[in-house]
Amino acid sequence: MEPVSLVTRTDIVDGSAVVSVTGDVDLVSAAHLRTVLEDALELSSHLIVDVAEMTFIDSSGLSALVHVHRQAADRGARMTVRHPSPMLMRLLSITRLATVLVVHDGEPQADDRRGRAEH
Amino acid sequence: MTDAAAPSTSVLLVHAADAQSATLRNALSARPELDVVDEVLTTREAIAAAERLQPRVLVMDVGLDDLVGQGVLRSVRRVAPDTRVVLHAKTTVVDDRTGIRLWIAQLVGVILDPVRPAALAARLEVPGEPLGVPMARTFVSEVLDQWDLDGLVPAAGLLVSELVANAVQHVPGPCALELTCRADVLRIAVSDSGPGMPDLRVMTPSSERGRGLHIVSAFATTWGVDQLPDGHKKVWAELDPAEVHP
Repeated sequence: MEPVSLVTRTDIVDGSAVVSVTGDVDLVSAAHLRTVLEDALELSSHLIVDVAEMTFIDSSGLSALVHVHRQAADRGARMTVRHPSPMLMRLLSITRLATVLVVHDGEPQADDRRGRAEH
Repeated sequence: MTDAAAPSTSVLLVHAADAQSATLRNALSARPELDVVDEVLTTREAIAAAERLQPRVLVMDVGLDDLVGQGVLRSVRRVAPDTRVVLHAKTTVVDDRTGIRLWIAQLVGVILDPVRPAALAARLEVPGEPLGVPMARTFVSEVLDQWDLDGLVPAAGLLVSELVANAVQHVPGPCALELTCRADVLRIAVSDSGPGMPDLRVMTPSSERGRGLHIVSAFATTWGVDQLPDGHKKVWAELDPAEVHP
């Protein structure tokens, strides 16, 4: 059986680079995700990783996220993870990454980001 | 033996009247395969209850005040020769939800162990390359589906991913994935030919590695490393159905 692969899509939305991740992130695909996120970081100082369609992530994938998050911080940019599943939130909590990687937008702010440029 | 469709194991609980004991009683009572027939507070009462009820298993806290030497066990054996005695040291239980859950899960495993017969087992030879990780995960998902344990797939897939990734990254050559299910406890084991032992590293938010085994520790009720006679090692983790996470 062919393992499920990773599909990503990068868009610019209101000045932010939004990378939508679909599929599994593990030892096979983590390096690819890292490259895609690094490339997206070249497009905007705000990188949003939308994981609504991500079906799996393990510690290899978390390492890729942490790596790019640090790269973003080093150059004065920022990276946030959007739409984490309960499973991912549990993982982030176990690994003490929840407050590092996820920005808890309030409801009004979440609405804002659709219609207003972000700086 | 009772009805074959719903075999239940009669359990007599002997412990102090405290919150942990109440948690244990409620947890065991909730298990359909267990039948808590009575709960008593002293070893003296325990002997009388064992004689009267002839339970399959007597679960006793060794911290009871009136427990003196081995006399109680001899007495139980005399009045209820077919009763198995399971002892536990409640005082060693970590006083948080995870600790108590772990303790109860282990206790249930011990209570049921000789009662539940055939184990379910499955095995996969995993190539020693990164692609082995998703292969192993797919295998686990298919096997658990067959075993009607699909609720465990998210947690089991995660454990398998971490264990196989560890083997693939640190040991050359293939590894073997074994799944066994006994007494409702799923055991995931990965054997490899490496002499090294898993390394529980200090984990900080900024470090890029060292999270895998912390994840295993958090999702498994218990896990460990067995040294095999041929110098190989087996890293295993156990998952209880009650431990299904969203």
